[in-house]
Amino acid sequence: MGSPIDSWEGATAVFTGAHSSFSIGLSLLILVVVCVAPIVYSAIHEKAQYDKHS
Amino acid sequence: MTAEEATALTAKLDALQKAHDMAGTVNMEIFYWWCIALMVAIHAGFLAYEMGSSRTKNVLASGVKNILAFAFIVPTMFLFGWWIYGAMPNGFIPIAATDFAPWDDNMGPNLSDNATGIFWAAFTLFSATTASIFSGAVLERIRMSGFIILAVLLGSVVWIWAASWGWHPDGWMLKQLGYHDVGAAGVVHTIAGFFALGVLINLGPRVGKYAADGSPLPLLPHNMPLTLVGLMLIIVGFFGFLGGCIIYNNGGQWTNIYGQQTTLSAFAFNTLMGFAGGIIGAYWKTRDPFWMMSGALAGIFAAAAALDVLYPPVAFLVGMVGGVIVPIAGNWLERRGVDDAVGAWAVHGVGGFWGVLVAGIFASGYPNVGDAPAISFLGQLTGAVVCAVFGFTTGYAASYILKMLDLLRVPDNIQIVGLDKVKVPSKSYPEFLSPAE
Repeated sequence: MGSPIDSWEGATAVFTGAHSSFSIGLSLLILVVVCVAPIVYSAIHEKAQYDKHS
Repeated sequence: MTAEEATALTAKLDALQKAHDMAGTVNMEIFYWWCIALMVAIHAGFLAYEMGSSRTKNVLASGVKNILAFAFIVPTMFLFGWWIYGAMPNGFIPIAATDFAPWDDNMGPNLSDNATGIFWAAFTLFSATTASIFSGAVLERIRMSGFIILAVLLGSVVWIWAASWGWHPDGWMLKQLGYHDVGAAGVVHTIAGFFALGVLINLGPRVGKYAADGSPLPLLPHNMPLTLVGLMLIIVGFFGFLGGCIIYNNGGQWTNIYGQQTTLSAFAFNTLMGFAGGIIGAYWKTRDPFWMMSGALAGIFAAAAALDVLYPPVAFLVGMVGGVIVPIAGNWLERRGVDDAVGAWAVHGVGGFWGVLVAGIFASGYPNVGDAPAISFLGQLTGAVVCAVFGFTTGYAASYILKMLDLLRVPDNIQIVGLDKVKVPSKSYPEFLSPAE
């Protein structure tokens, strides 16, 4: 990733990975995975806990 | 004046104009920044409200659920919720909305764009509000995984989709119906309340809520004072919410979301008058502090759609009506076997529906800008029904699927033990209380 700009003069998008479709795509993909994973984990954890207390 | 002096003066005027423009831009950012901060108080309020309304054995589970709803709404609004708002004004066929896509240059720190981030954040807080509305209705018996899926569906898909119809400058409800809902009575509250109703039908009541003959039994909040403080915090937050519904125009008059001129003074008059009317209406009907504070919310929603044009005494009166009808609606639903733990359908669904109709009754004939028709009762009624049907059907369908997958309801034996003991690694009141069965 690193800096997408060489100078602040005239800079627009300054976020990490700006102008790099690979970097942005990878970040978005990871974001999706780490949002979905806790929901799956929650379902598994709940099931285990319910079985344990039944 | 010499040519050099004229050139110097022109340069100075240009510099002053740029400074003025940038001051206005920064003021705009500051205004919405603090609206967003105030809106976080809505969630502090809902957190207190839900935990207070739970029994001791479920307090922390209710808190965890509420906190997670907020947390999951933020990234999902970034990933797809904001895009839905930009892409869906025509109904169900998306239009080009690359500015709203999460990979766009505007969707991150960008020195040439002071607006996208602050508006995305404000809309994200609106989204989180819908999820919190839903969260209270289903407390003490919904599975966390199913809840998160439903909260994301409501907060980052359903309400924002309806907002694209009823709030977006090209939304079909505005263009075809003249729909007027400046304070989001329909596109936030009606949607969320009816979505909750759809889920509640599939979720079923809490264990012990109904006697064998079907009559409702009281499952009392473990801490009513906390619930009341939570409700008042929600009111505080709604001043940020309604501030976020007005458009700051650099160098010009405020406009509402539809581009019609308005003032923050209008919002101040009618928010407070609706709030007070709602409390007094609910007091007159019930004398119950829970419904009084719920009536305060309903009073604000009653005035919300036409907040920009109501005469303040009218806002008070419609708020009062809201405060009266909300407990009637809540008790009616309870007697029908639907366990809405905090009255979310009554307060937000019915209260919001009433607010949209209020604009049709008292703001009928006000012109819209551009080619949209004038505000009308029929347009408002149609808009309210669209919001109610869209919220209910999506909530019902999604919760039905989750029910089939066994991801919706906590088993009855676990409800009896209590969710905190089963799922939460910390204790709410370790030194003072033992959970009631």
